[in-house]
Amino acid sequence: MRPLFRFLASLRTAIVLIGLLSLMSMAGTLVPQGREAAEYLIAYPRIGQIMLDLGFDDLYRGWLFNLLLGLLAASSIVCTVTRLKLTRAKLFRRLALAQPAEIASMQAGAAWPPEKPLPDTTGWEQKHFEDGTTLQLRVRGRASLVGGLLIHVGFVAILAGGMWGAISGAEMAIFGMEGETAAVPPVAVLRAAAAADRMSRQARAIQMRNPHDPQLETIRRDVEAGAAAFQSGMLNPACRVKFEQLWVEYHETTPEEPPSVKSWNSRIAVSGAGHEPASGVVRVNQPFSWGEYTFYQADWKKKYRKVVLAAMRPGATGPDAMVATLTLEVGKPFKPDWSDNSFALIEFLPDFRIMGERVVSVSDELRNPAGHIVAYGPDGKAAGRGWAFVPEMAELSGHANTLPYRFEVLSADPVYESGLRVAYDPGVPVVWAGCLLMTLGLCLTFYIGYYETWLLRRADGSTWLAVAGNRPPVMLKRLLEDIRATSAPPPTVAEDRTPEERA
Amino acid sequence: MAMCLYMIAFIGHAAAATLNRGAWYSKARAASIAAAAIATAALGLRWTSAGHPPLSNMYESLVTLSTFLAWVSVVFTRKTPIALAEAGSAVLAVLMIGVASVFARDARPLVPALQSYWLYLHVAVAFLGEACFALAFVLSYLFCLRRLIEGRTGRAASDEPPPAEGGEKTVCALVVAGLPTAFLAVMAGLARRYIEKGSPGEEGRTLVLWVVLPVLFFLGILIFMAYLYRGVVGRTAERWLPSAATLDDLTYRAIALGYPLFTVGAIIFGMVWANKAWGRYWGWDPKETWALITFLVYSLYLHVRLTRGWRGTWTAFLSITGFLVTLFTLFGVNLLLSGLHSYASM
Repeated sequence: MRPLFRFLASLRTAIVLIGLLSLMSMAGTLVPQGREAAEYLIAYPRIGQIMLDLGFDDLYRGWLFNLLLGLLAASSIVCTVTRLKLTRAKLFRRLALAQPAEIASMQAGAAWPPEKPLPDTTGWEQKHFEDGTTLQLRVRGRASLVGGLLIHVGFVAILAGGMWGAISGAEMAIFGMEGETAAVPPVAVLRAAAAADRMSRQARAIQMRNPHDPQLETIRRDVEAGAAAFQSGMLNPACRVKFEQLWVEYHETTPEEPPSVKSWNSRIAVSGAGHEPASGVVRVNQPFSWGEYTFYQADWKKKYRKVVLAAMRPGATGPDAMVATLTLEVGKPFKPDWSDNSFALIEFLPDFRIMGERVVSVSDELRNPAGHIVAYGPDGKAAGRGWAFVPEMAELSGHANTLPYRFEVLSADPVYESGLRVAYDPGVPVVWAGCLLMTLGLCLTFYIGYYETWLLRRADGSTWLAVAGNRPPVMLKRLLEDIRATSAPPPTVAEDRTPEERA
Repeated sequence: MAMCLYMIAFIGHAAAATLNRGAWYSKARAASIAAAAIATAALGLRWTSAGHPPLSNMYESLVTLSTFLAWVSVVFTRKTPIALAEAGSAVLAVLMIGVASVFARDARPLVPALQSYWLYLHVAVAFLGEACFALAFVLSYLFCLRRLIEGRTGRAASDEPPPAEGGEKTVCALVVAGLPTAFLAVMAGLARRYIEKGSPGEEGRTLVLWVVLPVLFFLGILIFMAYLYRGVVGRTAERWLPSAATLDDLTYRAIALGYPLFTVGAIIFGMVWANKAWGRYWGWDPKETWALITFLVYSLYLHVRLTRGWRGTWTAFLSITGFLVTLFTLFGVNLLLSGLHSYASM
């Protein structure tokens, strides 16, 4: 035990750990995190496997990083225990433990001119030695001494709270449009589902190395159990969240300026066993709590479910080209009475762009809308497909269009979808307590000066004044000069000798 | 106007230090204070017109940080005048405003994530800490310069350590010559990238005209003058540059002042805000991680200095590393890495 204690108490250990944690943290921001094992093996063919073994694919939750963090926490605890003894001695037994030689060797010290009156020492602590020497002490800023302790205790509390949250906390994302309801399973179920996700990823990594690894079967069973638990949790949720009203507030802007979102708002009603139903508005920076869960506004999407289209005769232009208008709902086939075919809008992109070989929507705004339409014949088989654009971009729809009509997008009504983050973290109060202790400790250590003013009076009548504390020597020397200047003229060089030298 | 006054302050402080003119020092200091006051007033006007504190994008952040640096430098040297440190702070402030001119200057309404009073606390307190780190960086740079000059002339003060040799001397030379070179290389590279991209905002030209060329010009003059009067520069070093021990102590004091502010402002207030906005106090977002790295580097500095008694070149090197990490946390992360703080890259 003793070598381990010595190892953890060593400042060298703490320095090495801080350095390693800094380097690993840097690596974590440079190496993409949470990707599939195959991606690392392709991106880093030489060291990909080593990175996976060391947990660099999920570095901050990996064993190596957490081992270093644990060691730093242990080192901080040992350091706190060691400091506790020293601080207690310094707080309550400073004068009792002091020796004249120690005071005489202080860096900021000088002989007191014998012809000058001594400074007023009323209220100073005093200690007498057998040889007639008297030691007097005045201490200012004692509170500063506990600062270092509080910083270390606070740091350990933050880590402990974080660990508690990681072990017992849970989180999930829920989405809903106005009027929809989302279920939130119990915390234990959320945790089981999260564990199943992690195991699935781990299994894929193992499969990359060895598809016949016997561990895979065990993991498969555990993942299936987790998935089953999640399904049952969704059937018997801890609470149900109804998205009662979703709306957006905009900043006031001039007509030339693009609209700028001020706030995304979700009015939700939460009900479940064990607590009274409650409702409230969730905004970014304004969470809503119910029972052990807290809901945060985390995502917001504008979706377009229904799109109004004009069906045009292929190749025709002018006002006679339009056959009819129709409204299609995304994903739902519709058969108009003017055609033998039914039509389905399988994808709608409000801000259409071609990026490489993919088509994407670069925003939720209706800037360049495009709909992917499939036509089905009376036999139910696909009879053609093509893209519909706004009339100004209609010529684009001619490319690879096999539909019996040319479609143009006339309008689309947006509906909002709100995404809430649901979190339960029992470690948060411990983390805040740690933060508070750390803040207090930092203020005490760095903003409150601890000063010891010593007066060493020998039996031969010589006097030595010294100042010590937690400030740089330059400051201590300046303080010493201030004390001397208030009571005495500047000393001569000979007076700067220590009492021992004078003797 | 503030930028011009910073330049005047720099020239005044540099002249006051090297020519030993006390009257010039007080005039240069007045210029520093005037520049900081004008910059503060400009930021206040921007705050009033935009309806939010000027902390929401890169332009505002750089100008605010430069103003904080100017004030920290003025307050820090109130009792201990160090003309060259004040000159260095003025240079840093000018460079920050120069780099800020590359970014969009228009004041846009705050995005929903930034609409919180935690923006005031988190960013303002963290910037105060970072301004102290910037001052520590200037002092550490001067420390390395002092050690290098001592090494050349062998004129160390009696209570000073022996002249730097070997690895220590190499580190000092690397810091003194390497940092300006690296800065110019990064700025030139950035300008070239902007020009090659054909950026519509003419950021490349702005960088060349307002940052690269002025720095090259001043640096060239400084090197030429130092070479021309190398004998005097070496002999009078003790007069215009404080002793290495003083610079080392002042560096520690600047870091000791900034470390709690940074820890509380950047990390603790950031955690509280993140928990309120995103539902978790820590998510290993690149910005959070780099703020933690900055905290760890300065923790390392304080541990080795306070507990192990390290002083001198290696702690100065740590202080310089800490500020480079701070700069990367502030700007490098926004420009190079994507994350939840990506709105800060605007």
